Amino acid sequence: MENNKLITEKDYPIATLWIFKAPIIIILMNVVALFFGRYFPVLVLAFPVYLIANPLIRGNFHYSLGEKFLLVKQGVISKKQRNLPYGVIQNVFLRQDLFERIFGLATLRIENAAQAGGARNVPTQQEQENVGASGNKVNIPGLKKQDAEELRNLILKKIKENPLEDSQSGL
Amino acid sequence: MKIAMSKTREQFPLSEKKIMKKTIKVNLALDIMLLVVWVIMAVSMGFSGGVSAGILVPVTMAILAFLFLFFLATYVYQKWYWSVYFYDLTDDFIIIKKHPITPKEITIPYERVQDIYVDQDLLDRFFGLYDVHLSSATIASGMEAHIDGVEKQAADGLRKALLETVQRRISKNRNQNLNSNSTN
Repeated sequence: MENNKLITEKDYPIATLWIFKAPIIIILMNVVALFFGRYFPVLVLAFPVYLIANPLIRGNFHYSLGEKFLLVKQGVISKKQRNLPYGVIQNVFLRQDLFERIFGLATLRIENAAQAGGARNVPTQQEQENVGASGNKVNIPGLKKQDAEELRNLILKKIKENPLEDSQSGL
Repeated sequence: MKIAMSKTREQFPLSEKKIMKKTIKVNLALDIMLLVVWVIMAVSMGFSGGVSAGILVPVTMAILAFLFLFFLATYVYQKWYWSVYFYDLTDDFIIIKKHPITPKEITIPYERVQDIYVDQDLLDRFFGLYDVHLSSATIASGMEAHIDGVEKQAADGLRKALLETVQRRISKNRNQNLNSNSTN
């Protein structure tokens, strides 16, 4: 069995295209707007922010599928590290917004029951883009669709292999 | 349109009435709004009379044509949505996948199911449809993990199948843990 190999973000990385997602959308918006004689110059000012921040965020995001825990390390300026036991993972989401659908990418999100199951923040569109662990979820956007599916299957396998001592369900 | 079939969907199928129900639901709000606008317009034209009253008929025709086209477009979209709707109760997980344009898939392990309930809104009652909701301990699952638009038999069947599988999985886990604890 090849179980000795540790799966990390190097095996299923966030695609380089993800870095350019916001700039591409801004360019497309401006192209469409130009047909109507309008133009959004202010948005173009946001380019440098995305083109500098996104590679840094992507470069500083690491995850690895350990024996019992999913380890997530992230942070450009302030660093954080989270260990999530597989046993308490509540759900796994795999979704594609319009950009991702067109370019063959996908977002994988894993939720646990921390912080009241996410009661404080109902996930917004912006939150979909946040990379890594926050609140009750680990969000990995910009994966290639096939990578996202394989990673999802690996995580589901780990969940199956790591049941909790006591059941979480009240049924 | 190719239907996203699974063993579960074959056993507990999504009703085709759901397509019409969702079409009507989306159109209803628009219809009421346009009706209000039209009534205000007709009344004010009636008071001013003459030339402005003359354009009432073409405007009414234009509104009706727009509503008809919108109804058709919604129907086609809802049919597409219904075909692509996928749900499966596999051995270990519940998988629900929806949305034709921006797919969203949720996978919940049976042991994490906290809550299973069935409800009907007003239009559902009219069509005889039910929504089966299940959730784990997160808010997002409560919002996304549901199979809506099944008829009574399928709703009862799904509910029963889910409850039985969850209970079986939990007691299997408990027995496994008890056995491993007693040998320790």
